[in-house]
Amino acid sequence: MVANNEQKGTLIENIAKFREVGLLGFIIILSVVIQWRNSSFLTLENINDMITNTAILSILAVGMMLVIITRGIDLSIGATLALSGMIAALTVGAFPNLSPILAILLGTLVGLVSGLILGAIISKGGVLPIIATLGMMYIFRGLTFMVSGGQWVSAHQMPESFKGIATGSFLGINNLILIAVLIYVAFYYFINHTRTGRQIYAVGSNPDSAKISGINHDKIIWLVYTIMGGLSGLAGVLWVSKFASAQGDTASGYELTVIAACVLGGVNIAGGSGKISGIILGSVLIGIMNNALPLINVSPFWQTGIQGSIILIAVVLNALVKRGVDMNALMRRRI
Amino acid sequence: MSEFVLELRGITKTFPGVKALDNVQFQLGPGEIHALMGENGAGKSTFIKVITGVHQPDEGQMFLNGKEVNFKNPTEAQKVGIAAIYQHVTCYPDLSVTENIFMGHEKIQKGTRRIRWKEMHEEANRLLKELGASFDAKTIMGTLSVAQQQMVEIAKALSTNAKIIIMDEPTAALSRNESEDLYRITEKLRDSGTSIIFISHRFEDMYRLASKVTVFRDSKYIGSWGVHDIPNEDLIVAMVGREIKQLFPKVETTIGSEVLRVEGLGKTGFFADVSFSLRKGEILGITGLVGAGRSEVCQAIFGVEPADKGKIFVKGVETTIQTPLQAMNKGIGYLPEDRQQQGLILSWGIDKNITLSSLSLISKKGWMNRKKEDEYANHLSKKVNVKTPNVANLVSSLSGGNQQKVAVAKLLMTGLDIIILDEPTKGVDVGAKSAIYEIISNLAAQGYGVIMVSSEMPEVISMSDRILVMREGRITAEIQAKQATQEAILEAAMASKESTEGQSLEASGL
Repeated sequence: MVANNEQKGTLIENIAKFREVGLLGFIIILSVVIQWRNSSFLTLENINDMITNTAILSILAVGMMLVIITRGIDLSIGATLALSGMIAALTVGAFPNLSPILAILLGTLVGLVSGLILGAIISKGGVLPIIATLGMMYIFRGLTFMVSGGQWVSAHQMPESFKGIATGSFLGINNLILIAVLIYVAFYYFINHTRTGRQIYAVGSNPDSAKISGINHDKIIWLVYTIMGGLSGLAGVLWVSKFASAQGDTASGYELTVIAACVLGGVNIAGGSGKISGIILGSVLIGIMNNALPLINVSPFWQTGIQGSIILIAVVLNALVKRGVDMNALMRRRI
Repeated sequence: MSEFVLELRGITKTFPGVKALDNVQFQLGPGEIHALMGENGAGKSTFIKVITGVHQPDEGQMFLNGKEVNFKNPTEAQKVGIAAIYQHVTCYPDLSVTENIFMGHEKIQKGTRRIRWKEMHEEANRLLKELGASFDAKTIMGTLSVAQQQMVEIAKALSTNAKIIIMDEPTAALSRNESEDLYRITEKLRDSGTSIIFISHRFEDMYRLASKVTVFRDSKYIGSWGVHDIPNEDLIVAMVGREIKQLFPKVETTIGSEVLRVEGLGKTGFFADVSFSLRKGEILGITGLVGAGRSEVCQAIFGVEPADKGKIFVKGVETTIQTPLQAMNKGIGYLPEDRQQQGLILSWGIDKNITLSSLSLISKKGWMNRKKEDEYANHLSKKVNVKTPNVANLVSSLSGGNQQKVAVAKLLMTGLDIIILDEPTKGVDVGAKSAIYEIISNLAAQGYGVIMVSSEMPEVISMSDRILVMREGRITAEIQAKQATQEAILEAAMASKESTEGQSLEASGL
């Protein structure tokens, strides 16, 4: 009986551990099916297109994961992205000789400042994240229209060097992908190998315990929203460069796609857990769905419904597995 | 026909690992106020839950007006007229008084299924008036005081035509005047023929109201007496008079210089005028009834909920402590009472839990050294003897006793002088208890100053060097453990309000 329990335990634990493997398997199966229906899916061009699209999504998902781990949520990132993209686009429009690196830094800085303000409201002001970010979403969106005067910044107003951020490549790899990979690596080390990373997980897993363990709860909360803001700013510049257009309603509603990517990637919306590998796969899956469903002639009316169903199925499966793991820990207790 | 409204015979209730009630009996007469007394954990709450149908007894019979009954759920008990009013009012704060009173048994219009508001409001107001309440039934529950909310609970019980009302420590959160009101209402109910079971830790309540008293101890029935037929001293002995069975491995230590002193510590609404000192190698026991403010004092010293009055001196130097981090930097460690909620992160491994409050020891410039973490975790979990094959195992897979050891190991990682243990053996089986006693004893022998908060008197008397007794937010006695008796402690913990004044003056003159 005991041996039986142990065995069952390892099986369920393995499923939990290799949740990413399951997700990867699902992505592969989905790709094979789509490729079978439309052979233009797995062409180099389409793959490149898909991955560059996913790059921005996954950069945002990294930040969103940190926020969700601390039991928060950030609805303002679409607006932050639009605001920093717009400011960067207007600046390069006015100073065409500005180095693209500086443009990226400028956008990131705008995002950082937005996140800093938002973080202060949440951690020091004690406003619930969903309310604070909802409010800031409207403020940032409004600011975007104000700085642009309601005008678009379109491709011909941007210098080639700026558009080159998204289209250029280094050692044959697209810049967007390089930047995204750099961010994955940096944040992988940040959350797994630094003191602050450990404290972020602690605050999300059990805020009371973290407080008694001498962790500065407010500081951690402030930090994650600032990081989220910075990444949104960076994504804003990349977005505007990629689509060669900055508009007042850029990325409107995109925050929900980012949250969906996190949830698909196994980030627990109740806080405390989430992995970089998971959100990369979650972002890729969303990228594939966005790209492939039109390719296999799924009616646009069905697309969002299918996407929603897949998200729900993933979450329900996740909950079932988690229940199994908890049960198992209790069974193995030596009473 | 039986002479009792409610009679229980040979009730036994076992929870996994604990016998909560052991062959208990109880008899309640018509129009009687019957006090049920006993220490924390004596089994009173479980007993109430058996009567109200929340728990089903494993053995025994229950008779209502001489007829045997078995309640499968609380609704069945409610239907035959049994209602309970709990210590912590269980209301819906955002709903009106009327809605609270009629929750679950609203007056419904037949056919349309519409709620008959007007009738409900009228009925609610009538009940409130009967109880002498001065507020309207349309008031929102959350805006009322605790005493007023309790009135609503009583009105709720009356609205179900309850013949038996159980009150679980109703006066615990009430002021003197509010208690008087409650006495008046309770007497009125009795005169109208309702039988009342009254649970309280205050002798004052018992003498004022009850005609009979039943005492439980360690899940067993000890006896029933007429309130005035038993001297107070005998009643106390009945409540605490158990043998000390466990092994307390107290090591004799040399007590050194003072490490902690608090003067006039106070926090509005929780405790006031708390002054004491703690020395190196000393175990200071703090005891009292639940809600006496013991944990709050400890949390204030540790900076979780900082005090708003008074001074804290660490090794003779006055310090301000506003956050746990400051306390830890001053060498104070705290083991919270609720280890699952506050002490540990259950979904994490043992190793990560042990190192959480001292990450700076295993990291350099913010980067963590996993190897060092592993070494520390292994060393400390061996030191407190956590039973696990691997320190990476989840804390949730450990038993209560072993979880507590992990929480202690976490404390030992930081360089401390003062360790505050809040109910360190709560919810821990006997074997693990003596292991924890041994650890505490060793800590004192190593020169830590230890504060141990505990409700278990044998534990306090056997482990401590000195004992502070708290009651209603104040220290009411300081006793050298060698001279301490359970009776003396209980008296200081429960003495009625009038006699406090003198004692607290003594206490503040420490």
